[in-house]
Amino acid sequence: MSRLMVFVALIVGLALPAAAYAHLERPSYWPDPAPDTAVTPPAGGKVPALRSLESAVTGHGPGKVRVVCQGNGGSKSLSLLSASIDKARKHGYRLRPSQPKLRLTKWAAFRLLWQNVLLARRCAYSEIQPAVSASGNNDRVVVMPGVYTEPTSRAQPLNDPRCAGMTQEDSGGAKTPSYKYQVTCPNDQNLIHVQGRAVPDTPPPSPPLKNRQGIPDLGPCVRCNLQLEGTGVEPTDVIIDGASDYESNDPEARPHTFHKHVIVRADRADGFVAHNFTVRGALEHGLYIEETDGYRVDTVKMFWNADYGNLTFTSDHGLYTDCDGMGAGDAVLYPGGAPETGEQADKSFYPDAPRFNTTVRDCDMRGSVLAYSGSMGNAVRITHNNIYGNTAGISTDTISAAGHPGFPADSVQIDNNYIYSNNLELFKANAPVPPAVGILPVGVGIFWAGHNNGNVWGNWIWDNWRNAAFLLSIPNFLVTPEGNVNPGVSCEDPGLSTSCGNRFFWNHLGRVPKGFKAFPELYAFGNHVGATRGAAPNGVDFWWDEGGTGPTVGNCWFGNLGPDGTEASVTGPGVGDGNDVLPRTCIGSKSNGDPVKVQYLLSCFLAREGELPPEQCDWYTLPPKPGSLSAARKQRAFAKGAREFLETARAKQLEDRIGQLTGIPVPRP
Amino acid sequence: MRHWCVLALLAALVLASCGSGSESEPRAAKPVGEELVGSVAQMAKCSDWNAGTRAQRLATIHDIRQQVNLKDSAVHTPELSDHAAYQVLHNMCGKDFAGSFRLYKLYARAASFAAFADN
Repeated sequence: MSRLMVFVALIVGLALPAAAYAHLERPSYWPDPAPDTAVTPPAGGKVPALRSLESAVTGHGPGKVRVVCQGNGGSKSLSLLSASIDKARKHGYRLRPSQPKLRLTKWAAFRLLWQNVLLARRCAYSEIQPAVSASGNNDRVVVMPGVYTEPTSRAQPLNDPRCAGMTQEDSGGAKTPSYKYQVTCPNDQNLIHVQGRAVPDTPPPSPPLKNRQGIPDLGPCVRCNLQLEGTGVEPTDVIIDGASDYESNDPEARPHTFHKHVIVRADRADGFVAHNFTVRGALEHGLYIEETDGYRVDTVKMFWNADYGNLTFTSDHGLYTDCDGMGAGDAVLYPGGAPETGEQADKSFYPDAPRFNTTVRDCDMRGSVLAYSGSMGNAVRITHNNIYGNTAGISTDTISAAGHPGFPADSVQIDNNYIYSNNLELFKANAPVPPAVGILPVGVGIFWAGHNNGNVWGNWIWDNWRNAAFLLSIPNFLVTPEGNVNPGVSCEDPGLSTSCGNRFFWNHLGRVPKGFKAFPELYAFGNHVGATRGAAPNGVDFWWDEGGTGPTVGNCWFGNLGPDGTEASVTGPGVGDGNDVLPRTCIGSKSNGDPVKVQYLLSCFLAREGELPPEQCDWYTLPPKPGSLSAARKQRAFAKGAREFLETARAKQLEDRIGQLTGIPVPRP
Repeated sequence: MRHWCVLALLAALVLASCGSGSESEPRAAKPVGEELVGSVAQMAKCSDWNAGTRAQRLATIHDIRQQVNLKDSAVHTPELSDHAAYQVLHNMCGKDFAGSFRLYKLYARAASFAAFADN
């Protein structure tokens, strides 16, 4: 089949319906990255600064302060604060389990108590939503200690008939709640809704614009630069809670009944700051930030949210810092559909590109199916985090071509993180964290399904029993994704435009950094942990599908050090067709594909369960501990299975299909 | 004898309507799972799938496909056929740990390899 015929097939394919994505949302647009100067100080254009609690007390700075508390005159909140201060004074406290304890000095304790006493005198709300609704631009909602269940919001109906006519509907009949829907029925799905901008007279364009740069139906700021913050010693002193039937009173206890889909939704809320509280117990997402320019998630915890602890979508100038999350059925953090500020940036819209649009730093992501995920999560920097005790660590993908503008995912940087012991077995009956997502391998540090121009450097990645990193391409034949595809894709072949130009360098693999100390949360839910000092090998360090169905370019692995401190002890790219090489040089790196690895991926992605590898999906069981006899036996069995598979008619059929799709005959090693 | 033949014919028709599942059946059946704004696509789980009839499952596949196939936005990505989607969801949801899996996430991941799904 000639290349020409492939392109004819591609064009014919455009008539095919379809798609897939990671969450349902209205057609979304990237906000204008320039600051909105209609408000003072301007909203967006940068990560907003955190305003101190002291300034809330003194009234310095712009905006009004609204105080939310519990008990008469805040008595219950003050009592809870007093207990928290006592505990912190006696035992210290941790903002993140992986970090050393912090001490609360006598003076800091007195100051915090006094600030809360003064704030309690101004307390006018016992629920958070009314305080948010009463706020305007630059205002602050200050929440004193307590568990906030928001009974008024909880009582609002789901699928409120008042808003039934406010959906956006495509010609196929698919409906999604519009911005107007969320504003008019703010607590239909959300426990707390932060409406950043007015609903304009102009309805959203139908059909949605191909160009997703700039929100077409953007109203003026009504609640931009809002800061929502707790006043306790630590984030668990203020819990915004969407669930009930907890197993205990511990803030990390598992709930069994969920009442709302989202705990806090900040929508077009440019300049939004979330600080020092916990979002807990959502049917879907804990903190949801949508179409927002400028946001800061600072010292926030996210527990037991059935999908994502934090979901940010098509939002710019974002920072997550000092956060902590667990109990997510999908991922703790998910910056999806992140703006095209990387290699595919349109400089007329993003004149300062290339730049990172979102930074995730100094966070603990743990005890979940995934630590981090992001379909079309472009140009995000993930740095100085601790990622441990999950089924898998970081995943950025190009799986969801519809619903997510920014195809294909590119320009993510993962640097200077500790990524370790992600061996949590949640794919078992009565799992302690119910997994919402399947088709994912247990025991992997980084799972990149179709990412371009990524940099993974300076990380310590150890004790992930399957792989340190797993790179595969998504065969995106026949795809017409959401929104425009900007020029600048790393791949050379338009039919195979994912998984090119990724560089893995200067990482430490299979070795525990000096000074690391294990801590109880590492073992949560029965997580499997190997050595906690010295050598702690990963399974195969760098698994790569070698392009899978065809040629991918520019992927390289260099300067990484293995368990014995040398490059020679780094392992990869995993067993395939026998011609398995991990390129060291980036320029000129070009893969030819590997039918064995394609078959292996198909057995998992299409749930085709054969009897033997590579036609058998082994992703749902934790591999044997690296270095063990069982691990060696498993590897030999795979190699034998691969050799035998290549002799079958099924292998020939697969190779023919790959040849049909790519126009390139599959070479035999 | 004729009486028994009529009964057998009726029984066969009832059985056929219960189990065999033609592609037109989903129009009449309701999809499984919690509904959000008129669609179950966001919330339907494997436990819902397992409790559904074949017709309800096909209706669920159609709902998911409709939600992800945003026709107005000119988005076109390879879809799974009813048969392929049914097989993927059937195989995945049959696992004893899969009850909380969201169906659309399974569909999405499988659809990324749709070019190979019907081979």
